[in-house]
Amino acid sequence: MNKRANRVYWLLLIMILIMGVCILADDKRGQSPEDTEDTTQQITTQSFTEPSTESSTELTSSDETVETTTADEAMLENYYKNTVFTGDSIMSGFATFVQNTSGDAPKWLKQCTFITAVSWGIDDALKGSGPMYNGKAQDITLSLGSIKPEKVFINLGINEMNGLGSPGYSIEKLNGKYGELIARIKSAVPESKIYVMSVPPCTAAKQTNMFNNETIRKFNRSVEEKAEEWGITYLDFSAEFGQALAPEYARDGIHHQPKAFREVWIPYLEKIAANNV
Amino acid sequence: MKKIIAIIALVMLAAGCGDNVDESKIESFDVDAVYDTVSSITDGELVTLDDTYISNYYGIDTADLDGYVFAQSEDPNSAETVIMFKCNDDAKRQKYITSVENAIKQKAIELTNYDQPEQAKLAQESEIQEKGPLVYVVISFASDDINCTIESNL
Repeated sequence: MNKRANRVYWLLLIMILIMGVCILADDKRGQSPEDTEDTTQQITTQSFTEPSTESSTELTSSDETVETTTADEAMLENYYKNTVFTGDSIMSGFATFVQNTSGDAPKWLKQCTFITAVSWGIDDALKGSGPMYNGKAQDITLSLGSIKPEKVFINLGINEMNGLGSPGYSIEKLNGKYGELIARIKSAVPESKIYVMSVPPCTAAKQTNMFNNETIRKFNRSVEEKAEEWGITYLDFSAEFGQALAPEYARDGIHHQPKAFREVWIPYLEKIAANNV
Repeated sequence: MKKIIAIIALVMLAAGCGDNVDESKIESFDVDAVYDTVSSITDGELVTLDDTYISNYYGIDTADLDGYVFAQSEDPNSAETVIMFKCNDDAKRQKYITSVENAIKQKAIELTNYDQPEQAKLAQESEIQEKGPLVYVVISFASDDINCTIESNL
């Protein structure tokens, strides 16, 4: 009887120890931060572009030049073959949307190469700090040089809009850097046609004194004015969103939801192809 | 009574996340099946990425893999990622591990620059595991649970 009681006591002790360890482990896991979202984003920026030189077509706001066309898959596939989309976190979101195995992105888009990085800006790109491509982070000109794409769509600038226009940080200065970056890219891939997409707006609620759609519009205008000089095709992509990003398209006021990709991005890219911009 | 207590203790021990790996199970480890379980316990919703993305981003040719899942959050502010792949070719496996290491370092840099220190820390603290041909890494606030689920299949 004594022996039996000892065994039960011993087993109970083990149980208590095990449960104690489990509780401690759970507590540790429980500490993990959950509120990733709100901590956030002051970051804002994104790119844009303007009309081109050589073949220079200017795709201004949606209505004039372009009318909605139902471009057929074969034409789209041909238009976007060997195309690279590069940009910051807004483009990263688009890349994930397109290359999701269970997503509904069209085949012509899935064939494209995306080279993107969160928090990436014009200045970063100019300094050679580049996004991941083929297993390593490298200068975008190296990545593009190894791909030799027919077309390159660039969407950069949103991360540099905060405080733009304040003393020491002028639109002209950033615009000048963008011009340098474009020149470097063109020198790396002289045969590629370069499209610069204008920086899309943020939601009205996301605006602050330092970061707002007025600054984004000014910057976009400055790029558009340089398009011919730079030899690129400027795409007034931001006009597709109106004066401010609609809340239903926004993930956090800046980044886009799949709804925006389906209803704005893809139809816009179809229009570009249909108009052979 | 003592039998019940002993059984409960054994079940709890068996369910625990030990370091013991059953070598024989690595070969039969089904990446897709394990990910089906894992996907229900991630912190946020993840999407699995296609071969083009895996090739362009990681430089990994999926034809070299016997099974693979590369999943990440749709939210660019989130570091959450689950990667599992099996590669029997030792040299290629090492090369692909280096690519994944590069990607994780880059993710940490990007999220640090993006003022997302907690997300960056998740990436920095993640550890790539190599068990024979199987390689996996989890970047998540739920990494303990996810790793435990993966290990329970080994």
